[in-house]
Amino acid sequence: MALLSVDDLHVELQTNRGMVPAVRGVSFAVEAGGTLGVVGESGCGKSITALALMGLLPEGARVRGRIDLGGTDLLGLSEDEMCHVRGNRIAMIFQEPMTSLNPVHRIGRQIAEPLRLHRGLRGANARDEVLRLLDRVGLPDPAKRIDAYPHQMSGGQRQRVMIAMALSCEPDILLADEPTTALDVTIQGQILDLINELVDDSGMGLILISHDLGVIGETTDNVAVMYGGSMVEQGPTDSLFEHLAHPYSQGLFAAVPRVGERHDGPLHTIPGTVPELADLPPGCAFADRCAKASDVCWGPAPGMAEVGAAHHAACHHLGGAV
Amino acid sequence: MSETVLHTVGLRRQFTLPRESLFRPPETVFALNGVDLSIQRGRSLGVVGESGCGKSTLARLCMALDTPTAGHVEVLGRDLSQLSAMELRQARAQFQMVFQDPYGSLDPRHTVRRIVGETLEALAPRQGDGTSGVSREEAIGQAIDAVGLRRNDLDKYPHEFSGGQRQRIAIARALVTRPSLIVADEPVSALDVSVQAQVLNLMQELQQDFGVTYMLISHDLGVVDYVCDEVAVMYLGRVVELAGRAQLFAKPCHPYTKALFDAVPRIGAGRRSGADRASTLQGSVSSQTRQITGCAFADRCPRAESRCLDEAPELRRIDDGHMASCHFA
Repeated sequence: MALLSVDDLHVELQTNRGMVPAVRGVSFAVEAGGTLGVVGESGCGKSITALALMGLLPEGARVRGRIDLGGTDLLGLSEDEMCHVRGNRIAMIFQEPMTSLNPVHRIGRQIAEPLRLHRGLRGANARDEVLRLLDRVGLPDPAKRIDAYPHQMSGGQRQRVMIAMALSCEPDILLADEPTTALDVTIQGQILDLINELVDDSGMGLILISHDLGVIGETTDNVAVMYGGSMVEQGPTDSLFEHLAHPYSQGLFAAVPRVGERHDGPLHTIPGTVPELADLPPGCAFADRCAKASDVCWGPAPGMAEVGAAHHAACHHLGGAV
Repeated sequence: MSETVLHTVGLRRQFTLPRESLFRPPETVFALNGVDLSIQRGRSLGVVGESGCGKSTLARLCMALDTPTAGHVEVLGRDLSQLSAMELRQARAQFQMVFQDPYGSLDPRHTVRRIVGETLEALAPRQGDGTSGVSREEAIGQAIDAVGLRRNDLDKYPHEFSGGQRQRIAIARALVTRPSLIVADEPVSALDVSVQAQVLNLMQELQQDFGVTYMLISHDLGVVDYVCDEVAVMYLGRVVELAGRAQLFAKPCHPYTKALFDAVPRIGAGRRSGADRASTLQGSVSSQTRQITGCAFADRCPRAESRCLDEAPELRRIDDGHMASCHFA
């Protein structure tokens, strides 16, 4: 039994053009100590999936499906009950360490907040625990920095504070939404190392959302590729990157310029642009940009089919693609 | 054949911070500390480095959007600081810029025709002049064709376009005066991967068709590797390594360049284990408000010795067309 399993999750968001499907039938599972990477471009539904797990969807959103965390369906919980899960059993790290910390509170107080709320720690006990956490995430000189304000820290340090906060209640699942996108490469390396180390040590499950295939490759054991609100390919990271089955995954992979692998021809491109969620084509969402598209692609959307060991893809033309 | 399009000599720029205390002098940010670069016609130079290394300040100085504290910039052999306001205005037709954010850099209330045409209006005020007899409308049309948009897009507004298309409009705006030099500051970092490739391919095509010279500023080594002939690596306002693309990526000499390469996550390398993690560069870029006597990288460098703290290494020749500033290179 997986620690977290998401089954046929649908999310519709309220926009000025009516209800728009942002996530369309996403299913995945994360074991304790397992790592799942979610890749996709903007508007593919990866962040909305994360917000649905946290119960933080914008007002007016409609959710269907099942999010099972250790036997409880999170979608069936009331807001009060969800407050005990959020930050306690599932914690999240956001992309922008600049805006996700409160600028008017010292970081020590911000990290202590979940400790007070979920673990009932007070005063000196809470402070000791905060110091231990800051030390754990590798912030230099925690005894001094505990009373600093967020603006007195660099981007990488702020992200370490965010991670300390997420870890404070020893969550079962850590959700990281583009945790290193706003950081420089050398700092990104440090933060990814830290996340890897914490997952290895604590045995929590990790869901890492990123548009950067390299970050996903170095941090996760399993990967899911999303496009237009659905998962188009899913499998173990190594075998998926070795045998990309879906035309979108292949295109995405080929479009990344990589150091030291310059070819003399132009870079491979995917024609067109990422679709607006409100204008998704009826069948396969990728059909209008796909080189392999035929009449069948405009009909019913393709289901997930097995293409390798634990490796699935949703495409009508898998035979020709592999 | 080889004509120098851009040449910077000992470029320095310091910014004075607001005074924080009545009893101390205001602090100074040393953004650029002596940068000498040159780019030959039709070539492209990539400038890489982390935030705070001075790459955007360098771009602004080259575009004469800011004046250097010391040193000067020459475009096509003319020292920009010696030009009068009027001359500078006309000279701007020769160098144009593409900015990072295609959402913020286009006026939302102007049509594409006006956005692209405004450059002509400002730089060559007389009708037809400066565009070798072709009418202004034709010049705008040609620029929009060149970037792969349609002429009936000219009457649309920026919000009707996607991020990639907006970046094409920004490139058309830079291209319309037929400049010799285009400085692009992170032109694709705001775009999705699949769209990024389209814009990079376009930049390469334009270079072949129009012989434009590029200075491409990016934090993404892959992008620089794909577009550029030469690469300058910057750290705290200095060029620490300068070499041809192939040479640099095959044999980086400066420890910072090596660390930068190692830090780029590789696809298919598998999950990072404990041993790989040991190689990650520790610490972060030190303060820019300090005048550094020795090597700027010494406090993070795995090879640093006492000499590095006292003596600043010169940018010296390592190999043919390969320069690095490190005592151990």
